[in-house]
Formats: sequence, C-alpha cells, structure tokens
Amino acid sequence: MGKSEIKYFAAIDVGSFELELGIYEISKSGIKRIDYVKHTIALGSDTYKFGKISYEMIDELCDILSDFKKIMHSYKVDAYKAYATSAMREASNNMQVLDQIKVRAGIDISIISNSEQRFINYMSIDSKGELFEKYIKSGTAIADVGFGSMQLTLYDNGAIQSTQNLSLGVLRLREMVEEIDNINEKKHNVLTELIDNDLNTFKKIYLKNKKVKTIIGIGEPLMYVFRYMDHKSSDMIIDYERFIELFDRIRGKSVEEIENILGVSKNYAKMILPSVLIFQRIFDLFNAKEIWMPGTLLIDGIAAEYAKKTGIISVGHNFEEDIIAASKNLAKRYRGNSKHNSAVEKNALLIFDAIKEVSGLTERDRLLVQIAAILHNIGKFINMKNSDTATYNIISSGEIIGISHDERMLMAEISNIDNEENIYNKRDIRLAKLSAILQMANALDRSHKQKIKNFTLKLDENKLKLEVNYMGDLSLEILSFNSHRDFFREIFGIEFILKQIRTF
Amino acid sequence: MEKFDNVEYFTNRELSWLKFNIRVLNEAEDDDVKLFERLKFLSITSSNLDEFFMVRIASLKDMVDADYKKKDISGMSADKQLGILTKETHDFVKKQYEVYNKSLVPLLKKENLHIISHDDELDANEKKFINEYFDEFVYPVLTPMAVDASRPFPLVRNKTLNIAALIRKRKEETSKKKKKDVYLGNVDKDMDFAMVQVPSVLPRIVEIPTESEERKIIYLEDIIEKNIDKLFLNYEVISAATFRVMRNAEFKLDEDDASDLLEEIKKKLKKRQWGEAIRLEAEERMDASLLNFLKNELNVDEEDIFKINGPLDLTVLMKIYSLEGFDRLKDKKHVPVMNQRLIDCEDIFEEIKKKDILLSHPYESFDPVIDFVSKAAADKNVLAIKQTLYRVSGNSPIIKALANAADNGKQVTVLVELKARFDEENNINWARMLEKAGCHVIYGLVGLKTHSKITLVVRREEDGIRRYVHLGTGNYNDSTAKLYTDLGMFTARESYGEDATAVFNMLSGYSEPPFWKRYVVAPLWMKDIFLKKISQCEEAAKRGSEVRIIAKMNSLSDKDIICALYSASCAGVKIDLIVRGICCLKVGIKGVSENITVRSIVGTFLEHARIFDFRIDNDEEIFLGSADWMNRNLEKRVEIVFPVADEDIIKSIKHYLDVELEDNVKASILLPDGRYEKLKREGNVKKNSQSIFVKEANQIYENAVKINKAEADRTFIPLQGD
Repeated sequence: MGKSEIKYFAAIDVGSFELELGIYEISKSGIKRIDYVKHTIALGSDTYKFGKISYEMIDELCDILSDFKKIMHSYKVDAYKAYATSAMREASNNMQVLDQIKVRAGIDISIISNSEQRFINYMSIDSKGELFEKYIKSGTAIADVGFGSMQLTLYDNGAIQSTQNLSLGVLRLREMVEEIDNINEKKHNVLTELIDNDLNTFKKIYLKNKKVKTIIGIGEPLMYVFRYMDHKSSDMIIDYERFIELFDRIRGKSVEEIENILGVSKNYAKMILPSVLIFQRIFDLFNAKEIWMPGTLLIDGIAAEYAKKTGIISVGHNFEEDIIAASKNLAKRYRGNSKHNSAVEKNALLIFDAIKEVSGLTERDRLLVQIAAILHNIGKFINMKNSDTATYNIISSGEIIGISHDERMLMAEISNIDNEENIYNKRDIRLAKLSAILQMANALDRSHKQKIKNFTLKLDENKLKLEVNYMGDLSLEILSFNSHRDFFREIFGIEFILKQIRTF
Repeated sequence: MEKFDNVEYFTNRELSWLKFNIRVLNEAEDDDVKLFERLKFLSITSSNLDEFFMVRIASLKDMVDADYKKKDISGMSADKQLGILTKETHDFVKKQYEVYNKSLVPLLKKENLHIISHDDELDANEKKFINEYFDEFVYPVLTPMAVDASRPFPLVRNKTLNIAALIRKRKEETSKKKKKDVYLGNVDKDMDFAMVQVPSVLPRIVEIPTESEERKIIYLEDIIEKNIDKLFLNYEVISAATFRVMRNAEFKLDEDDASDLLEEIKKKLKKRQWGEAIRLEAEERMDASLLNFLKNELNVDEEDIFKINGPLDLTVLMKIYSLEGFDRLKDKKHVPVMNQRLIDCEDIFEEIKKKDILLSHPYESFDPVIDFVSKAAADKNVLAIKQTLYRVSGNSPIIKALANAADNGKQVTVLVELKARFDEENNINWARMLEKAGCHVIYGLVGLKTHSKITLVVRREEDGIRRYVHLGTGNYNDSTAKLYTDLGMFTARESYGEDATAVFNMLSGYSEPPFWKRYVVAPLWMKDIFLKKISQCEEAAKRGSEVRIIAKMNSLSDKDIICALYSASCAGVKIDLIVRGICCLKVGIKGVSENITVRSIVGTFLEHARIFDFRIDNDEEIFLGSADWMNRNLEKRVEIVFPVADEDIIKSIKHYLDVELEDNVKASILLPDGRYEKLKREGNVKKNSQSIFVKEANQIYENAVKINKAEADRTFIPLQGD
C-alpha cells in the first residue's frame, strides 16, 4: 500500500446516553482519530422506563445524525459504520426508529449485542499497539464499565479465559444508593458491598487460582479521571499506589465536591465515584498491581474492526482465537472437552474447507461451525436423554464474546443436530448448510473412538470422497454417515462418499 | 487568601476606569504630542465616556433601582459609587472642555485653522455661503417638530444631536392661540417648545471657503441654528441651543426564553432607542426654562445634566483630524509591513508548516490573515474553514472569503457573536449574508459571549489530514488591526489543531472534550489554571527560585487572581503588570503587594494584546490570548489562551515585553496612592515602545526585502543568440 492510500472512515455509536461520531484516518501505519463529537441524549431513560423510544427522542436523534452526516461529508469519508447498543436493542419500537433514521438522516444503523459490543471495545484496545498482546500473556482482567452493566473478562496466556456481564453499571449503582440520605460514608459502604458480592462470585467461579497482575479499565465514566490527573492524553498506566491516592481524594465526597475537584459537570461527577470504586474493589479483590486505562471508545473499536476487515491493517491480536478459546472454556465447564469434541471440530473444518469453493459459505461461517462443533454436546452435562434440547438451552441463554445474538441463536440450532424432523423447517439455507456439515462431522466419530483419524478429503466434480485407512470395524460410523448423507446431498448437491481402505 | 480579603486592598473598577480616561486626556494636553494627535486623544476620551455612561453608569443605576445592596471589591455600594462617579464625571467633562477651549482651539487658530463658534461674527461672504449651504443641503433633510396638544414630546434618539428651541407665535397669530387650553408644549406663558435633529447623514463639520491662508470650519448645528428662523415660519425663535441624550443601553437578554436569539436581539435593538435617559448634555448657554422643560420631559435628575461649554459630542474632533493639509501636525502614518517570512510567499500553508509564524499588529500587516482565509477558500485540498467573528469591519474581506469557500463546497462554520456590544446590528447583517452563502452560522452560545479569536483550516494532504490554525489576541477586523496592538500566531502543530477542532465542536453544541492538549479555555478551566500557575510561582519562590510574572492585559479586576498575585508577591515573586485600563489591584501595600509594579501604556495605537509570562529560574511559559484577568472574561465568556511553543517566537515576545517595560514616554506608573504618573526621564534616552516597534518592523522588513532581492539578482540570465 502506497503512502497516498489513506482511507477515511466514520464510526458512529448510538449509545444509551450518548451519540458519538469519530472520523478516522486509516492507513498501513495505523488508525488515527482525527475528529470526535459527542452529543448527550438519554435514549436509555426512555427505553428503560417506557420500553420504547419517544417521538421527541427520535426527532433529536435524526437531527444530530443528520449533522453527523454533514461532518462525515465534510471529511469525504470512504465508508462508515453505525452501531446501536442496549437502549436501542431493548426498545420495542427499534425497527421503526432505525427506519426513521434511515429515511430522515440517511444513516444505516446496525444493532449489536452486548457481547459484540464488548468485543469491539477490546479491538479498540488492541488497536493502540503491542501493549495489549504483551499484557494478556499473563493474567489480565479487562473491566469495561458502562452505565448499565460491566463486562469482566479474564485473559491469560494470550487468550480469553472467561468473560461475564455483571450488572455493576455506574448508573445502576448510583440509582441504587440514591435513596440513601446524604450520608456519603453510608452510600460508600452499600456500594462496596454490592460490588464485592458480584466480584467475589466471579472470583470463586472463574478466577480460581489464576493471578491477575494488570487491570485494563475502559468505559466512558473513567475518561474524566484523566483530566483530574492532569494527564494530557487519554492513555495511561498507573500503579496501585497512585490509584489509591486518587481514590482517597474523592472517596466519601459529595457530588458537588467531586464536580469541583475534577472540574466536570454534575452528570459526570455522579458517575465517577461508583466507577472509581469498582476499580478499587477489583484491585483489592484480585490483588492487581497496576491499571492501564487506554482511554478508547467503542467507535475506536468500530474503526479497528473496519481496518481489519478491509485488510488495511493485518497486525494485532487474533480475536477469532479468543472466540474459540471462550467457547472451549464454556465447553470445559460442561465437561464437553473430550477427544470426541476435538475430532468433530477437526472433521467439521476439514469438510468445510473441502467444499468451501462451492458451498457459498464465508470465513465467518467457518468460525460458527467450529464453535458449534465445540459446543455440540454440552447439554449432556445436564441431561443425557434430552441432551440436544439442553445444548440448545445453554447456548441460546448464555453469551459468547464476539458473537452476535443472531449468530448465537443460529449455533444453538445447529448444535441441535439430531433433531432430524426440524431440519427442513430450519429458518434459512445457511443454517441448513452448517447443520449438514456438523452432522457429517459428528457421524464420522459416532462411536466417540476417533476411528476415522487419518483421512483425505477430495472434491471431484460433485463428489466428495473421503478415504480412510482403518483396519477395524466402521459399521456404526457408516450407518450414521449413510443416514445423514442424503440430507447433505440435498443441501449442497454434493455426493459424500466414505471409503474405508484396509491394507494388509 | 482570606488574608487579602480586605476592601482596602482593592480599587473600585469604575474609578480605575476613569483614571484610564484621564490618562488618555493627558495625551490631549501633552505639548510633546502633535496637535492633531491631541485632537484625536480628546475625541477618544469622549467616545470612551459615552460608552462608560451607556454601560457602566446605566448598570449602576439599574442596581440602585433594584435596591441591590451588595458591595464591590472595594467595599462600595452601587449608590455610593454613583455618587462619587457623578462628581468625577462632571469634573472630567469640565476638564475636557478646558483642554478644548483653552488649549486646542487657540493652538489650531495659530496653525490657521479657525473653528467658528456661536459668538464669531461672519462676514458677508461667509454668511452667504452658509445660507446657501443650508438651503441647498441641510433644509431638505430637516424635520422640525413642535410640541403642542396634538403633538406629544417626540422621541429623542440615543446619542443624537438635537437643537431645542423656544418659539412664540408671531403677534397676529397669538389671539387665535389663546382660545386653546393649556397644552403640553407650553413651556412658559405663551412660549412653545420645538426641536430639530441635527441630521447624521450630513458631515458635522463644514469648511467655509476663504480667500486667505486661514481655513475656517463651522459645525453643522451652528449652521442650522443660524438659519433656524426658516424652520418655524410663523413663529419667533426666542432661544435655541443643542442638546444630547444618552440612554440605558445595557439590555438584559432572557436567553432561556429567546428561542431565536437573532430575532430577540433585533427587538432589543429597537428598544434601545427608548431606554431610560441617564444623561442630558446641553449647551451651557441654553435658556433655563428650556433646559427645565427638557429635564422634565426626559425625566432626568439634576446631577445627570451636563452643561457644556463648547460643541457637544467631541468625537467630532476625529472629523477635524481627517481634514487634508495638516500632515505636519500629525504623526507620520505607519503603513503595516509584511511579516518577513510572508514576503512574496506563494504558499502560506507550506510556510506555516515549516515553523510557527507570529504576527505583531499593527506594526505588521493583517493581510496574511485575510490571505490565509481566502487562500483556503480557493484551495482544492481544503475541506473545512471554521472561524469565530466578534467585531467584524464593514465590508470585511474575510466575510467575502468565507462566503466564497462555502460556494466552493467547503464546510464553513462561523460563529458570529451577536452579543458583541454596540455591534449587534452590524453582526446580524453579516450573519444573514453568510447563511445565504451556505455557511453554517452559529449565533453564539446561550449565557456566554464568545470572545475567543480562532480560525481553523482543515486540509486533506497527501499524508493525511492537516490542520492550520490562527490564534490571536484581537478580533478578525482588518480596520482595527491597523489601530490596535495585537499578536496573532499561525501554527500547523498537531496538538493545536486538535484543540481547535475540539473548540469548534464545543461551540457547535457538542460536549466538551475531556481535556485540552494545549489551550487554556474559559469559562470552564481558565481561571483555575491561571490560579494554579500563579501558585506554582509562589511555591517556587518559597523554595528559593528566582520567579517572575509579567502579564500584559487590558484590564485586571478579578478578585481571586489579584489575591493570588498578592500572595505570590509576599512569597517574593517579582510581578510586573502592564495593564492599559482598569486595574483593581493596588501596589506598594506593605506585606501585600510590595513586589508588584503596574504600568499603563497609552499611545498612538490602542494597546490590546494579552500576554502572560511565567518565569521560574530558567523555565519559562508564555501564553497569548483573548482573555483579560476580569471576572467576566474568566467566567462568562468563551476565551482561549494558548502557550507559545516556538523558541524564536518566545524570544520575540520577551523582547516585546522588555521594550514595553522600558517605555518612559507613553507609560504611566501606578503609585501606591492610586494615581498614575509618567516616569521622570532625567536625561535618560526617550523610549517610546510603540515607535520602537514601528522602527523595528520597518527595519526587519527592509532587510528581508534586500536579501530577497539579492537572491533574485544572483540568478544568471543567459544571453540569447539571434
């Protein structure tokens, strides 16, 4: 890529309390945010109170987004991406709102799930350079503290270990203690107990004996700490002692006092204490040594995602590995980490790759089928008999980082593999295709004995030939294989042939 | 700081302001100043005083009316201030006319310029000229108004010059009149009141052609008065004299209710004509009953009547200053020179990118700023131009360039501050014009005046977006840039550009950024940062460092800042202040302000730059900007103060301050008793900072031109064969 090849990209975050626009200069040498505007609009208070977004709010949304469009236009951006998060996601009239915005402001907005949102936030941290990769090699907790909830994610050995959404959002916490009379110390204690309760549970179940050295802190309320620290950039690492120094200055102070000390508006002053308190508790309970506040925003992640997708930037952390690691951890929790699972995963990927050219499936689908393979039998932990339904329930009710709601539902259905009668009623062809692959992959290890291990796959015209060297008995596998073979042919138009080779 | 919370340690701001006007008046008295320059200074004192009445006195009167009891920092109630100011302003006006009558008029006569007064007899030729002038030019535009039962007392517009007359029906008419009852206009027995406005569309001074070397001028009101019989044909004019009314101009805008600020200001502008009369000036020779009638009709108090011995409204002297042929009595006009780096510069952006550029107006030309905007308007790589406009000159080339840019498809954002006092009408016109051209016009912010001066040009270059910024201490006004001393800086530094973008996003209504990279921005952060800087200096001095603060501004009145300066002074910080106008700080108080000096420079150009220089041992931080250390600047305005990063520019600003601190011609030093006194020179070389800057600017320019020329001459020109 030459020097002149700079892409201009706009990222929009339709958040629960703010609308944000970032303009980015993206080139091989990196991503640079060159303009940023923020407009405060409490979409969340409409949604959370009334379940829908009011007409006045839609009007304001359209006005501001039209203005965003003008700013985008003035920079002559090459592309843009607009994401909406929980307030829009949970509004019952969100389809109408998005349509209004599309018609009136000319902006296409996609709603993203919590796990996608958090994931994009991590991409924004990664886009800051090599520090992220360095930190996550050893125990690191990322705390993404938002207004409504926080996401706590554990990284170790360069990959995600576990991730949980806790209802410790600053606004929520603030409101919980609002009722308490003006005794700051009392509020403080109540907040501490609330936070500790969740954090201790997390610690018991997920942290176990892992060590957390570094905390990475992100989220809007944290941004204002920088100003107080007299920091001229929104990126800093401070150790426990300095953090406590800051904490002590605002601990037990009233909102008005914090307003003065930090020079922030009342609305933000309200958010700062719970936010800093959350980090103080994490520090204490996890015994961490330092905190990195990279100061990144969701829009930065949107830009990073674009840069990676378009291939302008290829370095950085491999986030697909994280999704896979998170899935494996989930499987492990349900004892679904057997050799059989690995075999199915491997088989599925081999089949996927063999027919990739003619299947019409994408790289993302490869990831989904892989995860489905990893998770396909975790329901057995709950119930041996109706394990498929249990698998479906676990996947559809949980969260997998980096995966959208839609994708997760898709995987839940794919994993429900033996439910033959449903297969023709599957909602779309993509689901049917992925199901077909997973069924075959599973059939090849029907006995859970990994008999079909060393095999070759060859696609010849419309015949997919599997040749396996195995001396023993493959009857169970062949039986299962044959029962799913027709479905596979119907879906892909490919005849799948299994040939056992015995050499004496 | 409680230690300094003592009314004794502060000067009342209005009295301090009056002292400033006295310093200007001193220039009008100074024999070392050329005669026509003295006219100019006297004229300035007059327009200054007008504004002072319309804004400050008016607001004090409002406070008294509202029974506002709070005392100012010097412990005076509004009532008490008004009392003192009434006396002081009367004395001041008396002094003004002494200077006019006793010094300037006789001196002008000596120089063969005769200003004809009422008492002067005219010869036949002169009479003939005046009568003809009246008939031909003046009469058609006059609207004489009499007051009677059907015609109420007319609206006397703010600051207009009017002639009041006492008239009586001629004999044969009186019999009819008696049938009527007593009516409004009945001033005294059978005399009526009439008035005529001296038309503002005609020049106030008229030159009468003469045969001799002596030139003669007459005031327009005198021409009218000498012909006043022609206006009231059936009446006899018993007496006539000029008068002028000043009205309360300080209007309070209810911005929360004003959904359309523009409309609201238009309405208020109309209202201003009707504001309460707070001052009545009348010629001393005005008939007592006539004056009494005016007083009652206009509802002014005795102490608000100024009896004037001479022409009303001395701003007219500026017109006399402009008369041709008296160049020897004026200072040689300085033509601003081009900044040496911008002489024959083809690409101003390239030059700015190389290194920051400092412009020192009016010594250096303002043209590069206009050029910057117009080049940007035409440049195909420019994406956006954003600018704040506060007081724009009529027919401003900047406005044209911005409209052009919008035409060329650039995103143009302009903040037009409608609340710029006395300029509202002017600003509304430009704002409308820009809107029509397709610019995004922001009409200021609710509750805040935007006083910052900043221009941002966003350019898409090969290696990405680059921002060019101009920041200044003065308004984007090409006319005042020739009269006000201001500093401006061009920079392409990334941090300055990012802050500039954030400023305009904030002005467009988006949230403030979490922090500023370089700028110090009011009203949210500036005061704290200045207080912090001053206290850092104090701490350093306590640790034994050599610490100095040099600050130059127009006015110093913020109590917290003054207390911080007192505290720093006590710790041994050496503080030198160059404050042109109001200064509420007192010097030389034992245990409070012994290390503080204050000087005020009043010269040919209006001192206007704001410079803040904090020196701790060898560390130095210099800031330039738009803000004074006044409460209103620090808390009620959007202001930007910025640090200077370029070493060479820091050097030139230090030199600038040094020269001003050495000025012994135009600088007055504040004494512990509150008076200002010029330095006694006693054999020292005269050092007039403004003249030194003129000389230096010319010198640098000439040298640069020489070098450029020498370089051009070195090119070999090959001879061409046949």
